[in-house]
Amino acid sequence: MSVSKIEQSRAQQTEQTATQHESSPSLQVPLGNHDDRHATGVGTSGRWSTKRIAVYALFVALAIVASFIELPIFPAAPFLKYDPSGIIGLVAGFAYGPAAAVIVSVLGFVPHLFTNPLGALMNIAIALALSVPASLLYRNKHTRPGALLGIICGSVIALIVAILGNLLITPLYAHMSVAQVAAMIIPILLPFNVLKFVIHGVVTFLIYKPISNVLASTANK
Amino acid sequence: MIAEPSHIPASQLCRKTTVTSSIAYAVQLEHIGFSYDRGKTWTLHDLSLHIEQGSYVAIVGANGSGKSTLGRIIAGLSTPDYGTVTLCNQQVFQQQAFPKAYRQVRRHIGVVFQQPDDQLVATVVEDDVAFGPENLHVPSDQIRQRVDASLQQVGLSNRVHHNPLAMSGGQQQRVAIAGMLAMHAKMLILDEPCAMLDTQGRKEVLDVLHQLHDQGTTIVHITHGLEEALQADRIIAMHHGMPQELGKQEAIDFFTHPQPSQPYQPSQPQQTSYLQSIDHSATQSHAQSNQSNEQFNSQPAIWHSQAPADQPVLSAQHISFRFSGSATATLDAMNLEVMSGTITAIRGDNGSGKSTFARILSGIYTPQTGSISICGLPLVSERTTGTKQHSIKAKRKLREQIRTHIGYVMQHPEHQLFAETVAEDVAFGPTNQGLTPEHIQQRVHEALALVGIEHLAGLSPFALSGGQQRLVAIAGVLACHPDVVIWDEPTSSLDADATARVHSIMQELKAHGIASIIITHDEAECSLADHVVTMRKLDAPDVQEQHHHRSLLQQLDPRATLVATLTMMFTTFAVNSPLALAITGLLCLAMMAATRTSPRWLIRSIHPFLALFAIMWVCNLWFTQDGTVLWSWGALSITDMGLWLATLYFCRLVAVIAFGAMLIHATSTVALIDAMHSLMTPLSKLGFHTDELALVASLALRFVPTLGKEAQDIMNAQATRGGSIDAGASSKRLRAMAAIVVPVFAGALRHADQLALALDARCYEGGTGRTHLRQMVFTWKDAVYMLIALADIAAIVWLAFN
Repeated sequence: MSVSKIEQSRAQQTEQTATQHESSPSLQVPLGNHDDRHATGVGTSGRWSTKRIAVYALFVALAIVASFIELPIFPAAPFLKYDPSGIIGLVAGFAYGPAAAVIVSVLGFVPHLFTNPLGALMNIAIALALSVPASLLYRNKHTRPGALLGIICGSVIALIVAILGNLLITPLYAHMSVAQVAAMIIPILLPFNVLKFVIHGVVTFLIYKPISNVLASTANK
Repeated sequence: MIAEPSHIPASQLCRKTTVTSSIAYAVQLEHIGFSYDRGKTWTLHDLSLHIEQGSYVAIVGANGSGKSTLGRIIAGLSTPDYGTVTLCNQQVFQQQAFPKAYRQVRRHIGVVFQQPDDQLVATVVEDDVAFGPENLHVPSDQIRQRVDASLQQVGLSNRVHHNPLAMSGGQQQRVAIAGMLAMHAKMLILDEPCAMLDTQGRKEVLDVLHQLHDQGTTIVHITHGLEEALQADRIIAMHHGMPQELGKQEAIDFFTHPQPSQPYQPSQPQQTSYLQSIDHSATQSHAQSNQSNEQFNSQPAIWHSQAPADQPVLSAQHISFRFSGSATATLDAMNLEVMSGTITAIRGDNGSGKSTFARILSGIYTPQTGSISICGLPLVSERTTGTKQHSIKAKRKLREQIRTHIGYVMQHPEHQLFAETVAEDVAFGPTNQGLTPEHIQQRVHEALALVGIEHLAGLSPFALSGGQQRLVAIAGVLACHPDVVIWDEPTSSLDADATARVHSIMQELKAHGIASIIITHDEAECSLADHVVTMRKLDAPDVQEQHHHRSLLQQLDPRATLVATLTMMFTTFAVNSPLALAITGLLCLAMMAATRTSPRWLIRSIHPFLALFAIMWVCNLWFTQDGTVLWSWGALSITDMGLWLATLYFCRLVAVIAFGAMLIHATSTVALIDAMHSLMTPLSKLGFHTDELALVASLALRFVPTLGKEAQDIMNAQATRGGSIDAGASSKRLRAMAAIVVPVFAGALRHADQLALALDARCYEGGTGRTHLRQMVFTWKDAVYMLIALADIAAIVWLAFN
């Protein structure tokens, strides 16, 4: 393969940033203004910069779109559906911090409050339980392994919240006592939820590097 | 004269004479410079420019000439690196920025950008136009006046309550201009506003600009269309960061004799080349392009189409299509036959259904009638039931097999890139086809060579220029070895070099028996084709301004409806007696009357849930064993209690959903967000930034349809490369998921950048508060509604415990 001088130096440049990246590839993006050197000082002087508002708005929109996507993943119970909004919350939390994780997790499910109020509350709790601890852990250790650790911790907490939530809420939807729920529903719900979080984790891990490239390229614009 | 809330009245702000001359200047730039890379290269260097108050100036130039950068500096959205900037007679920058001055001055400068829908911040025209004045703290009643006046100025008074996202590009740009007028902008900067518009849209925008100019607004129009430039009084050409005044004749020469690295001049409509040349740096471009053209012309290995030459490779008969929920058909009895090794162009105006047709041919949509066969295999076949004919698509496995013969290059295909490296992205298609790793490598190498970007194989696709990204996406489609490639506007936004490259690829494919179907606006592109098809938009009834007779619920304060309805929804879970159920049922009916909901609409909107509830009804029936047994089959028995409880739970769920659906139907999302925002005011005392959160929520809702559509487009595009998330092996599905999630994120970030700019242009500032177009007033009717809700809650709860 012949490589021209320009592309070579460009590739070197990318290599440099890439090695910087490799040693600590990070998703973190400071939400200051879009171009520090040429800022007028107006859009960033408010409590929240316009960039911050815009980014949060788009991520919440993504979470809402994702929350309406339903994929069957459990052949044993085809009515239990997977929705990818957990991934959105995780990435938002990694890139922009725990506050972003909270906003995306809560606002992302607000539309569902009007169709399935109790289910929506539970989903909000689960989303928070997943993304906030993950994001807090990632703040200390912003590398790919750090992200993995964050996802695992978040998944465990979210699993507990999911089980508790189901125990509380299912009796309102179906005539079952808490004990019956524990005995009959949990054996199906538990593996389903584990599978769900595994998928969240695997996909987030898979997209980690490309997403960090995307974030890096928009940061440099 | 409406009193301005700023310190200096606007009447004086932009008309005050300077000390040195008696001419009033809107813009004075003295020796400014701008660098994107900390001084390595200078986009603008030692530039001085004066623009008189009330003039109409066009700024033209190639990509990279600095015109957009200049536009942003003039608009007060960014600062130069050095020099002095005076806008509307206030010095805003001299070696450093003066934020207070910028804030003052920006209130009177309006900015309109290229992408019409990225400037929209609301889902209702009047809310979008009102956003600017709200940020300027204009009192509510005056906002209403301003909105009406500006919509009248741009000719959109009959669309006050419409959804701007559903309007044409020209209309959307006019809404953007109206938004700026509502802020009483004295100067309007427009950065390639007509680039994405068709002839009609361009005319609409130019007419408005003329009107505004007549009324005394300073207009700075950045463009690279000759027709638009000639509208101006003064034409300034930017050439590598240096301005040059052009007379009318010189301007015509400038456009008709393009310099090297000039933008491609399509015949119609004018399209912008915001994407850089595929060869990265401008200085090397000439030498580069020669070199790569040579590489390219040295016959790279390319597969030959397997399709027989005597049969059509694609045959579509009698295709009719209508989107579900649409009153009019998009396509009516379309026929198309494509032989291998040919190029067919499909052209037509915006809205003629070209893209829809492309998607149908690729197997993404299924038409209502008609049949499609690819290489002799039936993708869609027609069945006759009774007297009606309808189309059914092939079974999954056959469909997947047929799809390997079709390549689909969507609009802006660079938006579907997702992988860590270019090679990995291109390998996606072959990998999904289940080829061996060596075979995949070979395909990737071949595709990259065909397209001319082998040297980029190891780079991240997100580090490339726009033109290069497009080539990567095209390579990704070609690596699947299709027999027919469908291209949807393949050269939109590309410059001359990149366009030529894409055309060569098509010719090369043709020489090897691979057919191309090109959807295009561009006459010049049609000249490539052996066969041209013209599509015309089907007639649709005119859009009338709907007169909303506000139903009872809509007249209430949304806070009351929100709180009362939500609490009623939650209380419904406590219903456990026939009387309580009856009360709930009655309230449901009452609400249906109050919101003018028809039972049929209600059933239609909740029917997705009915299936789930039915399953639960069965489960409840089975689980409940108390009471007297009515029937039994072996282990299964149905008791009277079981029947009652199952029905009770079913009715409860239906009631909850019905309340919710009616609430959403009756109250606009805008009103709901306003209500929630208002109700959260106590939280703001605790330090929560409820204002910003409310804005985030309403902006998010505005973007949901946009992102949803983009996500769908990306899912479709990846599906044509064999990546689908709802069926197949787990590892394949996960990989497909990644291939969808990453581009969707990239798209969201792209929108976020533009949105931030739009917010800046509308003078939004967090923390300073905003006035509102609409006021919520709590009246006696609201009190009555809340009392009814309270009575309902009391009754249900009492009955629950007794």
